[in-house]
Amino acid sequence: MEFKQPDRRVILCWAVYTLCAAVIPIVASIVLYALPLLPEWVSHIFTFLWISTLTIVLAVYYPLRYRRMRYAVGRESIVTVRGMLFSVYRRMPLSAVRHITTLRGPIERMTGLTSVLISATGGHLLIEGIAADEADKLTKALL
Amino acid sequence: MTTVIPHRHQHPIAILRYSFRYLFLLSVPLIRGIRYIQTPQGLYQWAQGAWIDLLVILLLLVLPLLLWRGYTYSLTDDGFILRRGVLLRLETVIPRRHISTLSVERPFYLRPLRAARIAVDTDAGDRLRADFTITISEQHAREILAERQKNDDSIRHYYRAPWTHIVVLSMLVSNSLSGVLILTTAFYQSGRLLGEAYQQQLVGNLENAANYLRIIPRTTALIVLVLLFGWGIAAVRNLLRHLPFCVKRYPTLLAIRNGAITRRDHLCTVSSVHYLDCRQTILCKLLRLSIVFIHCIGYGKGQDSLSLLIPASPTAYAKEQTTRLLPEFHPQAITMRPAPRSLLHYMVRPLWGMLLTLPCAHIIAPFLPLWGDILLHMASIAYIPLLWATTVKILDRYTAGIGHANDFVTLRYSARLTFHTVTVPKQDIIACRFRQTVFQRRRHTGDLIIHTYSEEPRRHRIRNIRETDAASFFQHIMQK
Repeated sequence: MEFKQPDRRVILCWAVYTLCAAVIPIVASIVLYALPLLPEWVSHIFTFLWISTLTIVLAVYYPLRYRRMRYAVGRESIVTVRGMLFSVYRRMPLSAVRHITTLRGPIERMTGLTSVLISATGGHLLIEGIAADEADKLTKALL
Repeated sequence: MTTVIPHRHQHPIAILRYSFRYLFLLSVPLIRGIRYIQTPQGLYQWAQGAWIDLLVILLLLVLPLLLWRGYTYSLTDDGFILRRGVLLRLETVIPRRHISTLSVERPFYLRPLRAARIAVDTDAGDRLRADFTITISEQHAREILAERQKNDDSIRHYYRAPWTHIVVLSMLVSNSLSGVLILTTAFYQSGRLLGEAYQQQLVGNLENAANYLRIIPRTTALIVLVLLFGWGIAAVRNLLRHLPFCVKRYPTLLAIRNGAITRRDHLCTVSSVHYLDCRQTILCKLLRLSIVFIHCIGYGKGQDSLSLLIPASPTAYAKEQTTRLLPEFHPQAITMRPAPRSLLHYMVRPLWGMLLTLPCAHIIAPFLPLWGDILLHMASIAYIPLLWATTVKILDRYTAGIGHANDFVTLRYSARLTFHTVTVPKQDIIACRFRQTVFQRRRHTGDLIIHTYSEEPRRHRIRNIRETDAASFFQHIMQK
């Protein structure tokens, strides 16, 4: 069974969505600095914490997470490997697959990527960062 | 891949359903109104910010419309293709061969709009809801049903339940609690609509009725009456839900139709029927009646739904109809019975309940002076279901067992107050456990717990089986 890695542009998708979500702490920091509700040092610490977390996530966590991600489709099963601190190896028999959903957000559509959610009896598998034509081939192969 | 039904939108009534999701946005103009309308100056400020209210109303109109426009379905030779979403676009492919149940529901409020609700379910997905549910036109729903039944339209057997069987079913399966909830809601709403005087009159009528039951304390009589009324309401609800009831057997499909006010059609794939469950209560055993259910994922999933195959019928008649509708299932004779001297093991839980209920109530009652009497009354009433449960367990001891031969297994056991006779193909048994307490280990017996294929955990427990019998059962299951 040959393991493949998702497209590298998936890191860009994660980063953009994370930056969009960062609007919430940005607004919180602005409010904290503009309104004298709490001592200034609290605002400094809060701002420092979310900026440093964001930096670590973008610069360290996402690249490492991408490096660990793998998937493989065999004759009888599909396997995914993911996880940074704890590797999670999941195997799903092809006979258990019942339906497949492809997900494309606005950033995925711009980069030509797709996420594939495979639903089976008893659980599901998510494979992120696959090219659209590859996702079509995968859907046909699994169903 | 040939497209049988091209991509279509849902019925426009679905826009209304989507708009309910965004009703919370109305809180914005509401809060603004409450804040500003209290003073004359506030009125001017409210008018200045009226554009916010207009924006909210625009969002309430536009967002559901966008969701509706973004949702399309189509049917091809391979299966259903659903596309939905605005920002996050999703496309789901459901192959035909994986569909276990396709249901079409026509509620009375959708019929004037010529709309129907379709639900499709497979073995995957949410265990509480169908994999997808859409509201489409009746004509399109008929096309989908016809397409599903294509190449499968010769009826092998037709069963129509007599209305008396449905009436008995409704009386047997109705849950007082659900009826009491409806009764409470109706009582509260009637007070709001018709005034407190009407509510007081209702309470007065209930108290007058309780006076007729002089032999039991007044509070207990009121509780009994409320439970009886609740049961009556639930029974009427079940009656309207299942009457009329008919089943048609096609080569690979079971078509089940029920309901008068809300008409329901279910197409269940026979190969997706994982087990048959013939249920009886003590009353059913006395009257020699049986109710047959099937376990097919997607059928009987809604609230208050039952996965019914044969309503309350004489046992021999129910067996005959079951054999004609599902000849693939072969019930086996019971060959493994509980070990001798198992009676105490079966009765232990209801016995503990009977021993501890009244003493516990007497201990707790002095600490709750306002509720002490009611607590003691309730503890006395609790003896009725406990005695009932004890009787069930005693009967279970002498009727329980396992039969296994060829490719089928029959399990007979009781769960709560109901007796089950389950016939399941060997391939649908996914796990078996043999569980022993300290006392059972000394006697070389244990409880056999069998898990069958399902979206949610389904287990069947036969108590106090011998170790040797359990070992031979495991061996039989492991054989291909």
